[in-house]
Amino acid sequence: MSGRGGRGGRGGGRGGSRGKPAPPGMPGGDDPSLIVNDQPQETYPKFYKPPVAPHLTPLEERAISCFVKFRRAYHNNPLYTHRHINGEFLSAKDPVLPRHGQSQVNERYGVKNRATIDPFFSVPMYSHRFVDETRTLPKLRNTRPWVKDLFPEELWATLDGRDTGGPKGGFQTRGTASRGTKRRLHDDDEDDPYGDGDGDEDIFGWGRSQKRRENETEEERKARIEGAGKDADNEDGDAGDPDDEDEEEMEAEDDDYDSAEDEDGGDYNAEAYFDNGDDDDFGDDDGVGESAMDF
Amino acid sequence: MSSMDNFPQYASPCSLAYALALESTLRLQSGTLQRIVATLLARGRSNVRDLALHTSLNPKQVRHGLALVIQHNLVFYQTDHETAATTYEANPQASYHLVRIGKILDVIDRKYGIMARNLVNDLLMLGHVEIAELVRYHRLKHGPPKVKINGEQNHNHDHDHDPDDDFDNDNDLENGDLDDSFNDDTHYVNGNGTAHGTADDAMPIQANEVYDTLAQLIAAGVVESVSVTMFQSPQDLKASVEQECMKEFPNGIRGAKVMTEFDTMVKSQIKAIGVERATMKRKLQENALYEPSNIKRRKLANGGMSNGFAGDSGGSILRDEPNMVVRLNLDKCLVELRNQKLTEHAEDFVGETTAQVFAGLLASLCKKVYRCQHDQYTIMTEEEEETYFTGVRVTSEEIFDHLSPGVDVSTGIGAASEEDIDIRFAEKIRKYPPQIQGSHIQGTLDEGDEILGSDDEDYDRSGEHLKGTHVNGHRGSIAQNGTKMGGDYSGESQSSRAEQMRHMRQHLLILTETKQQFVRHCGQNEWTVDFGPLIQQLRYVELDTMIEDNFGRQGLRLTRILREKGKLDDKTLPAMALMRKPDVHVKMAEMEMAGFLEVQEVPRDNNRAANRTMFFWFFDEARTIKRVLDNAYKSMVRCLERLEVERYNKRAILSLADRRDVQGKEEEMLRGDVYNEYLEFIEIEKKLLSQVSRLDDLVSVFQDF
Repeated sequence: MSGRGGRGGRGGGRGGSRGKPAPPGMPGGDDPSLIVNDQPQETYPKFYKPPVAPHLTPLEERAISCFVKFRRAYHNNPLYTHRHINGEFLSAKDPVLPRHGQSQVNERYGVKNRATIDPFFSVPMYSHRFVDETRTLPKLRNTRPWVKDLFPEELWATLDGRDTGGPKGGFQTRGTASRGTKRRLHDDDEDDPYGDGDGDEDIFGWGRSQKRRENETEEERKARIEGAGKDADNEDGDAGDPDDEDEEEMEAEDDDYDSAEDEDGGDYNAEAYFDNGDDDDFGDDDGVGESAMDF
Repeated sequence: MSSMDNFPQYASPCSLAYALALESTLRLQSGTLQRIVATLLARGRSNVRDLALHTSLNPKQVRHGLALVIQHNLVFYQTDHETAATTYEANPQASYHLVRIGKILDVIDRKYGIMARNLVNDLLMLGHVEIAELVRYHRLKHGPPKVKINGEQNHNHDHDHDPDDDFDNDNDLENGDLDDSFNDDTHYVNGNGTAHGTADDAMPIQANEVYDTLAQLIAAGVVESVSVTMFQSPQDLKASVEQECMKEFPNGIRGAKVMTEFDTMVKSQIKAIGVERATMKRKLQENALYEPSNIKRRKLANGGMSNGFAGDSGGSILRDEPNMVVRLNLDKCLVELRNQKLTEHAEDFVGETTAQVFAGLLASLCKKVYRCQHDQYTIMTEEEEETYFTGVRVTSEEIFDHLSPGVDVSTGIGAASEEDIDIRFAEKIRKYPPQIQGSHIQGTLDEGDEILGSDDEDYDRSGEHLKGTHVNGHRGSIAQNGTKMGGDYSGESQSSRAEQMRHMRQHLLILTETKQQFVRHCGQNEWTVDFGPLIQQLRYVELDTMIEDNFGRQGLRLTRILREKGKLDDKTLPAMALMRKPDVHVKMAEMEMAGFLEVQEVPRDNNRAANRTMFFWFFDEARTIKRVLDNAYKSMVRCLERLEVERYNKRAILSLADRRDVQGKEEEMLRGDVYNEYLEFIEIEKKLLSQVSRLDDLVSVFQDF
């Protein structure tokens, strides 16, 4: 094969294809009758016959149909978020892409927002009525009752649909670390292995504040949420009526871009061009998005 | 990356390939979830901030994703009491189970009927859920089809209705195709499910029935109640219990006495957690209705219409606690899958009828088998601990009750005259489990036990007794009673039952006598299965097949010799294998390169010359298995990636088939050529998924069973 030609310079002195005694160091090398073939292997076997898998047994067939049914059902429920692969990657020849690091993995996933939309297909068409809208956030609110006790406390607001974005979401840390707070999860089961002898008042303090929060009236809640929304400086902090679900999602998708624009004051700001060039490189937590974190 | 120092030590090996396999598996889940769990796997435990950093999702998305992932118990979390900061950690076992969903559903279907299957399906869909909600969801989803079954165009597109309604409509969309394709093939082993299934379609599902089935599943352990402690990783749980206990010892733990005190305290705390988890299960088990024989009788009596029996049953116990949270118990599902695998194994080696008897034995044992593998973090209840140390055993009667009604026990036994059978040997009782064979290191470990076991000369006299009755003239009845009729347990005469029992005993004795020792006759009329050695054998069978396929019979011969003898010098090996030395060397080098064999050099003197060095070949089982597993994971990933490529190639057709008006009735809606291409894709997908599930079979044999 061509391999021999390429190696001619070094391999010229070599004898026939087989018939060399074993090199020292090889197991059994002390045996003079042992002949080894030291030619490089064929890079690809001449006759490559991969074994063909046998047909499915009825058992397997049923298991797989169960699986496929389940998957389809799961993909149809409102908690499923679609994988939207980045447009660039979709147009690439190979849909399975290199994933050597987290940044490469992240690159696979595009954001669908106003900037990346395809102007030719985004015009509303009749057939769009039959296509599922892609969800970027699972619809946690109102889809089903959640057993909040089983979730960590910082996710409770998220479950209620009161996630305001930002690093903390709807979760307000109360007190300082010195308070030694206890999670409420533990104090309502009677044989709590942890709550034996310590920190009763802590439990109650925690529980009270939680109670207060659950018993508050609607206006109070609205007011608080609006406050939180202002604090977090985020436009989609509405506890919202169900109508603007879609808008909310849309905002959620491109909120990092929007906020970045807001901070920059639009695309181009001549006055701030030179003196304001280097202090908004990374933005704050809201600005940390797909684009900023690719290193 | 600040949390890198407390990177979790998984109980199971979490290699790179494993992580990749998990990641691909997770594609079943949503995009966000997949990314979050994959990042958690790669980075170890992290908090929301870290996750947002590494996935480049915004924190809001991360939190939404985490909520869902916790809902499905794919991650553990741990909240620091002082700082109230929560860290999340991947749960690789649970994530891996996603690939087994199909098998689990199938096995549940065959064992517990179609309603149980649907319930488990719902549980998988919802994650952990309150009982009342589960029942509501189930009735909604699997209830009678409404006028528009399968997603007519006109619902779901008006966007101004409330989301709750939306959810319901989505379910209606699914219910049609979930039901219809299973009705025709559910009665695979025992026809119990059929009546159930068709009844489902005809009339609305009774809540009682759902509660009853759920109670049955909980009593069987397939569904378990959820407590807060389940969301901590076992390691964390133990650590936090230890921390709590540490407070009781303000002076620190020094000295043997205090140490043991501390240990017992930790143990009792952990046991308390286990007890708490199993409360409901025990309550339901105590209820006599959930003895398996009763369930069967009830099913046989009136084809699944259990309304008459539901009065004071487990269902009503559950009704009293609508807020109990339940989830699927994956450990138990694994046990069911193992039973299935072992039955297949027995069928390969012995025969069909005998395998059915074996299945009956496993089913009756299964009640007391809680999980396949234990490690130091496993939290066991008291009963479980008991059975763990003493082993489980069942009597012949129990096995007989669990035998599926279609089995004809009189077939599949050879006819030997009475004189040819040495009853002392055939009915010999073996009180002690056999040694795990094969690994040369363990072979020498406890010889005391072996002697103890082999000294035992007792045998089961009940066999003799049965034989006596047989001689006394029930021989004629075999022909009539060959097939058991549906409800003959109470109705038919005692003699036929005894006759069948005798036949079944013969099958069990066959199983005890096989080389594999499927069953151990452990006491008067008592039987047990030694899972450890049996699975070990199964592993060897799989390994042998693999080696034979790759390296031929000679390679297999060599590895078996090495497995038997331990380390062998390369001079003795050819003599032992009756092969030429060069052949042996070529084979060995080949296998060493593939990672099935290892070689050790022992120089005879200081200057390590090759001719003054001895080479010992050996077969390192643990290392080989690890390598095989690694390869299996890699192949799984490749299959799933291939699937991705195929999806990409057919993306136009798939997007068409995914449309709401097309979904579920592709045949009518799609144009002929498009439909053919769609079918082609379905075929490819099926092949690839079956390959994945076969690889998963391998993985479960080598790792999980």
